[in-house]
Amino acid sequence: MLEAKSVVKTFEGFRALDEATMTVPKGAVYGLVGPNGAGKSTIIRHFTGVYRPDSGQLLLEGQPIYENPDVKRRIAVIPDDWFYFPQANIAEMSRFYAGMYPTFDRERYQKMKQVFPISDVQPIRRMSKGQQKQAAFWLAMCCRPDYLILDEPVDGLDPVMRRQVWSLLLGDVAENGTTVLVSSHNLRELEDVCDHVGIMNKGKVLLQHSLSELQDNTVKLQVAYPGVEPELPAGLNVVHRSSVGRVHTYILRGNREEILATMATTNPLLLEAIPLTLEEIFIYELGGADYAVRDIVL
Amino acid sequence: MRFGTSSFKTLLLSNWKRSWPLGFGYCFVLFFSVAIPTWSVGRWSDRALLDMSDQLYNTITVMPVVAMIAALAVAMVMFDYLMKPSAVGMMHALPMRRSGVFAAQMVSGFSLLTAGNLFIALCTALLASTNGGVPLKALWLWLLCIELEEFFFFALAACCAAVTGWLLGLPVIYVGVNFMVLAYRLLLNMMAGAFYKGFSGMDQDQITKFTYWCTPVVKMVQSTEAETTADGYMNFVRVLPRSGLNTVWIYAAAGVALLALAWLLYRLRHSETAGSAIVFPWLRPIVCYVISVAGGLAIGTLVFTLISRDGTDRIGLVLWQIVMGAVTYCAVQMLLQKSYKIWHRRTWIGLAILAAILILIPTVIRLDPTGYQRRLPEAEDVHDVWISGGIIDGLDSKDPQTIADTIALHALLIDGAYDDDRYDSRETQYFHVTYTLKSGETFSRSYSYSIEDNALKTALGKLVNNPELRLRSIMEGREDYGTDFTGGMVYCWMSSADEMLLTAEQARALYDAALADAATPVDVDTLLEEYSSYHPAAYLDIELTTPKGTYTLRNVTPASTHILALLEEYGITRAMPEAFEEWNVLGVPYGDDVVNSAPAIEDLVPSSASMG
Repeated sequence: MLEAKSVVKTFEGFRALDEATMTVPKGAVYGLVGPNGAGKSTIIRHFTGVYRPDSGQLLLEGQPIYENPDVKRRIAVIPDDWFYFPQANIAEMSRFYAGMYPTFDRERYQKMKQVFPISDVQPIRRMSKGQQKQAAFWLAMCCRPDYLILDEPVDGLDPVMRRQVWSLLLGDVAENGTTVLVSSHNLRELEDVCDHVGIMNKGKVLLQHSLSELQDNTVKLQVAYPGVEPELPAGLNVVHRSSVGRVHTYILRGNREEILATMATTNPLLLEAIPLTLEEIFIYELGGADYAVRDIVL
Repeated sequence: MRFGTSSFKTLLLSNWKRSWPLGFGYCFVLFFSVAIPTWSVGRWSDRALLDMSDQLYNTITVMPVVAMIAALAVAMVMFDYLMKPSAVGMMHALPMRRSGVFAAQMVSGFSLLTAGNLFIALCTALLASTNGGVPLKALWLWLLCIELEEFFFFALAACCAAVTGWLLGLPVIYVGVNFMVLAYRLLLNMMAGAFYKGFSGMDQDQITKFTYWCTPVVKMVQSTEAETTADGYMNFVRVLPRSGLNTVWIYAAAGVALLALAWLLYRLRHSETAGSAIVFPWLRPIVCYVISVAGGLAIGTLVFTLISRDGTDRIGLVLWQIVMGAVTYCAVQMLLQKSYKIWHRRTWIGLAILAAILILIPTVIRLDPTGYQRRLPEAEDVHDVWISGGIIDGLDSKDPQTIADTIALHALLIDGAYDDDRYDSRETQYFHVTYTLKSGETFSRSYSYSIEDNALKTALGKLVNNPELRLRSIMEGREDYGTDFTGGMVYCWMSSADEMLLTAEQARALYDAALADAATPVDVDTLLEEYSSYHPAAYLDIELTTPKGTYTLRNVTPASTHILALLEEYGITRAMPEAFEEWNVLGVPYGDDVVNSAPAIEDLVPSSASMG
């Protein structure tokens, strides 16, 4: 489990993290979202032991991360601006990482040559941005980390490679119980892979939930009536409603089965529960709470 | 900090692999500046081993410069990751402590230099062996010196790297730290010269010593300069002075302290400061003021010198220093803030503080809180005095009368309103005095002044007519040569005439004439007139020989009436007219009137036999 407890970080008067608190459960794929400048990269650099907090704690399974090699050995990171030695190729970088991470898997490194269509003897500096990102994934995944921290990981990758990379990541999560913390400013990117989501803005973690928890408690219904829309039964917690012709869409909070049973009493022509997108969940969860959620997700 | 860890070794190997071109370049330079010259001097020599040894000792002297540059280059390679946010992010995310990373970088850098030095020592030994032997002691000392020097400079460069997040800032800070004290010393000397009347450099030797110790490369070069010593009959060899090696050891010890400081600063610095010119906020104002004050003093003085007519307007100088200091301050602020938009309240306050400092420096100097300008020794405290300038020939004297006369003239220069800024007068005189006190302390003063005051002219006249000074002004030679003359010679290098030989009697007569001239008081105005003219001494060599040594008559001027009378009598003025023509052309009276008006020698000195 990764934990940030009331972390404060100030850059020459600018409060980049303002009592940020979040928890990444073990084995989770945690999506951290927020607009530019929300503090996502800053908190990620704290989780990787690069930044020292002004106050607060960064813990991995209860152990402090900063200046703790034993803990950092269990973490691999792919930052937004991945660094490599200018004259190095992937093979040389792999030897470097193998020396740093005892869990580095050379067998996997060889196998991954099939996955990534790039040469491991070509200097990395001569590769395109997308190829460099592939190289970063190649090396990070060979480290076999318990915790993988990714900052805007798939920027620059083509759609096929994105799918490939996510597939590999989720395979590690399923097989090895790897915990993944991934930041993005785009909710749609994370929608298919994350099981936990945290939202940051202005240095604070505004909200964090498991996706199933959110989806279990919020229901989106499409309903059509033969005539005029009847009065909805009492006791339903309607968060949002909209209509297009005779089709009405409701977002309701509560148990899915109970809501469906209650709505059936209104004798609709059509009653269908449809999946909520992450975007919708956050809009409706935070809507009206004076947060700039639209700015965050759009 | 665990040196044996896999991470440490990995980083070490990675650093070596990345920096081999630097190591190659370093070896290349040393090969052609150490190994080849050493081999070359021994190649055709019949004392090859000694010559190669001498060459190595000579090389040791310039090694501090090589060490200073090499250490900077290696530090720039080893710590360049601190200057890039992405690189520092990668390095500090590695499963290593900061101390471990720092140690790996330091060991990598220093081992790279050491490997280069060992390689060059080996090459030098191999090449030297082809000349018949290896100067092992010199080679070992060369290796030891460069290792210790590089250790010091590398630790210093690491300190500089730890305070900056800007790669180009590293050499700037490094050079600044290396030469800052010397630069400030020169600037303060310059300011004292402008504002202290009589300033002739700082008195305290301790300040000079401190300045050199704080300028390591200068101190090391001075200290390791090889000495020549006799090694058997007519066999001179070069050796490294013991003090030179001690100096290098002291710097190496200081390097340990600098290493500890660098490590501390490295641990304290935040990773997010990569890209900042100075990473510690508390250090920024210090850097800003140190550079701005130096820039104001140096550039302000330069601009003032270029545009000022006579360079005497002190207020103008200070104003230019403030203006140039402000310009420097703004430039430094722009660099530190990485923005042209620096015009906020804090900047204005900073500029006001800077202006106050730049006004305070000359004000304090002018107020002379240490009493520098008025310092005058008691005559009984003075061991000897060295005076020179203008109509006073350079003279080192222990004579109490000369010392008293010197102090009297010095006191008048201090007390009087003699403006040392006027250089336009024909009668501008210079006076330089160095007192060596009985306590061993020395101090000097220099004045330029215009003689328009009777008291000053009288004091100057008394000093220049002091018999000892006057005699030594006319005649060069030691008293213990005696008066047992064997002959002499007169030669005029302007004339085609051969040298004229003097008999023993003529030599003795000229000697007596010189004594008589020395005892004859001379009017200061006459001396001033002669000072601005040519006179025969410029063209004549008059030597009076004794078995113990040779006296040389010099400063034969129109005032040297007795000598001139004898030269006339011996036919020298006619035989060598070229020596005297220039004198006449310049309108200085010379001829029968002068010669005939000379008082008789016997009237002035009792007897030549009494001298010597």
